[in-house]
Amino acid sequence: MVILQLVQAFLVGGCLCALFQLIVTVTHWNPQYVLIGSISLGAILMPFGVMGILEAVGGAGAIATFMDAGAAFAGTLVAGFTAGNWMAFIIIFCVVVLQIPLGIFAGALYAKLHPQEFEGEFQAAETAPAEI
Amino acid sequence: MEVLKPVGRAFLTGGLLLLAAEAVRLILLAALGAESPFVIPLTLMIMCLFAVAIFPSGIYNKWTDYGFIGAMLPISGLTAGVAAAYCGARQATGSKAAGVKAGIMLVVRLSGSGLLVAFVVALIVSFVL
Repeated sequence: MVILQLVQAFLVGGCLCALFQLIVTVTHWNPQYVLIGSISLGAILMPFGVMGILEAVGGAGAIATFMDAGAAFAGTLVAGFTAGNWMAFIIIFCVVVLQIPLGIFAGALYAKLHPQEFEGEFQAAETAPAEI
Repeated sequence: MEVLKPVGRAFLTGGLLLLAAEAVRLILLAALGAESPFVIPLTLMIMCLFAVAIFPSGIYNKWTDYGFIGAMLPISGLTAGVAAAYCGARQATGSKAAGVKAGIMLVVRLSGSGLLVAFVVALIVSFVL
């Protein structure tokens, strides 16, 4: 049972990633716009139950993607508007906002561990105004 | 064939990352119970902390180079994206503040647009209900 759930998560998550990769490869669109499109698509598909089916089949294979973030935003906002329950929306919003300090911390740590990658660019940026 | 190669790589990378997420979710379900409202948020946070843990070593960048959307679409891709935006801006300008701004702007652009669409959808659904 557990193995089956893991295989389903792998297949659903893999298929979602392959679908959006296919869009990027064929259209050559900016990946950032494709990711924005995936969040919006998740929000649009939520009322039709498509994301619910993907979550039921794939578990975290669908839940832990950008696409489901859109559906989670829409679903929790509906719960807020109709039932006055904003807690789920606040939790999801906090998870997204927390990515900022976490990502910056990871980036700063990367800069600390790979100073040679930053020194060259930093010197170039510093000397550029003087050359002008 | 050239088109299918990156698609296969994205399938493999994304599938493996999300398989790990499912393993975390199943462990949390067993530990906290199916009724706990914290299972999904904790799963997402652990995925993000996983990205924080491996990004400084440069492994996540290699995954992104290999799997591209496969490494970006899982939620850990957002954390790695913020980190990459921070590093990119810092490399380009030499300023930590520019790096922080780039990281914040990435999250605002990505989630802001999604939140806007979700808000419109939620309003329509609430009105119909």
